Amino acid sequence: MKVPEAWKRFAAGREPGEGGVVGHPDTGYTRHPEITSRLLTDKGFDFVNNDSDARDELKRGFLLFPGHGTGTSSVIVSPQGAQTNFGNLGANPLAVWGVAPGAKLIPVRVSTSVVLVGGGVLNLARAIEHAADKNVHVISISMGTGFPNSRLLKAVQYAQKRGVIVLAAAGNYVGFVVWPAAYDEVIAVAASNARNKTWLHSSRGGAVDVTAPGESVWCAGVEDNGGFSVGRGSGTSFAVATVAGVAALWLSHHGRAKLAKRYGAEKIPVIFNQILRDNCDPLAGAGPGFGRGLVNADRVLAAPLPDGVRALVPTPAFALRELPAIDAGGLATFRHLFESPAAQPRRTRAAAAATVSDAVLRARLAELLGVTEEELPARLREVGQELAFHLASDPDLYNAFAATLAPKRPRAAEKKAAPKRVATRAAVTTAPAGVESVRGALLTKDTSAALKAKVSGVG
Amino acid sequence: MPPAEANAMNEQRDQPDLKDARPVFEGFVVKALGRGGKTRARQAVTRVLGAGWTVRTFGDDESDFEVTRRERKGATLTARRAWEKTYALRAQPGLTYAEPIFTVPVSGPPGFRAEGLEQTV
Repeated sequence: MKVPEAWKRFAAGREPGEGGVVGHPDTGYTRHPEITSRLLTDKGFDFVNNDSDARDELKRGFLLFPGHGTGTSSVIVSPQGAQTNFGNLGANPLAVWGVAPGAKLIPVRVSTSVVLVGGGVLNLARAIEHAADKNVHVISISMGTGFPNSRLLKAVQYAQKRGVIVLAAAGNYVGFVVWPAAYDEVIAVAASNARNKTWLHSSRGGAVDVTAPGESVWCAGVEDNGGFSVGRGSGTSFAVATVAGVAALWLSHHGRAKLAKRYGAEKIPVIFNQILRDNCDPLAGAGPGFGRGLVNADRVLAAPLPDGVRALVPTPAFALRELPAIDAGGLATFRHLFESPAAQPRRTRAAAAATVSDAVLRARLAELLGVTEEELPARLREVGQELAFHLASDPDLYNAFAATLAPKRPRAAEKKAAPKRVATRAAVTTAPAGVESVRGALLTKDTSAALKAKVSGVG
Repeated sequence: MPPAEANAMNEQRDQPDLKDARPVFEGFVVKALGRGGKTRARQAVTRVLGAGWTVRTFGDDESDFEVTRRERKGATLTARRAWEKTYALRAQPGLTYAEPIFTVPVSGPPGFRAEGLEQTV
């Protein structure tokens, strides 16, 4: 990612990222030596306990992530050099070097789990607003949810309107980009590895803006006994933290106050997003869905600032639309959910690269809802959001519907018997039996009477 | 279900399978335009949901309202009930939009935590 090269652009004696403040909604902080000097804990907040102490309680259990906030923080702001003798390696102890070691970080505790189990979307929305009110410059979100809501979107827009660059993890082991990363206003970050290839388990899709390292990333850790350590972790959590560090470097390099004066604070996120995307390096063998490629920090800092941006750059947060298309329950929502629907976690690179056509998606949805394709948009306006909710929140149902979208492989006998032209036509989609099984599941699930009626054809 | 309760419940489970992690209903978002929007939002919420709900503005738009249980430990709504209440709120005069707020866990395969310090998060 050329981070050391980017650091060389800072004058001697000036720490890269100096002056930058990063808001960090996560599982809370610890006094880990790799991050403690960079924390602004007095500005933090704990939305789990509703108090001002954002300390990570390090609870352990099913889908809990003790120390996650410590690890992702370190990737952003850990100071240069070893902070203590981790690893007992004598003169060369293990250490984490954050991307923006001169920046400060405000920890905001929103959940004990980054998959937001047991609630947390409201906490995340409030945490984003809290961070914006504390005048952070960047917000790094290493968590996400599988279904959108306008409460979360409005929180992102609230921050962006105040000139805050908001970045979020694309997601792990799931066939679509999670929210809030999926929003246009958020820089969605997918993950790659040290071999400059895509990380197999990274979410991917049209909503991804850029990619950054997210496999075996060195970070601060908290052990089962509460002791501190340095180790490695994988996930888009770390990829987004890396790019948040690049955002802090860019702001520090140009001077945020100068940027705000020149363009207006609310334009800063849009300008950064454009520069970030325009200065990526290609990723080896990456299919679609990894944005513009691998972030190159040095090129981002070297990129010239745009002219005349007041007139030319639209600010998506202030668009008049009430709901983004991917939230509205129409075809765009389902396209987002199923554009790369590899079954999780048995994803293969070939399966991940497959994409679903709108024609197939439209046909299957019409079939499921018992309407013609012409009637489909109206039906989706009625129950599309709820249908998307059930598909996104139930892995079995998701995979069952995704299977109906997969190209059908003609059987060997069919291949032999049929002329080539016919075989090609047969390769369009699977039989509707899969749709019937999805319908059956929806009718037995905890779905509303309205959705049941539409699915069963009586509504 | 408030986060603390839900997580305590999660801790009791033996097999870390994401299929066990169900969506959690957190509240509603409703929109009521113009002057007196908050009053109309409150009235609509009371008609559909009954007493015990807090209606408050959020963000920059005074026509947006977050609707949550007054008591954090109050009984939650099932997905079906939440959607049915959403449709009922949308049908209320004075409200131009309503939607449920769910937290939907999606990340991490079974056995997502590897040995030692390797973590997939």
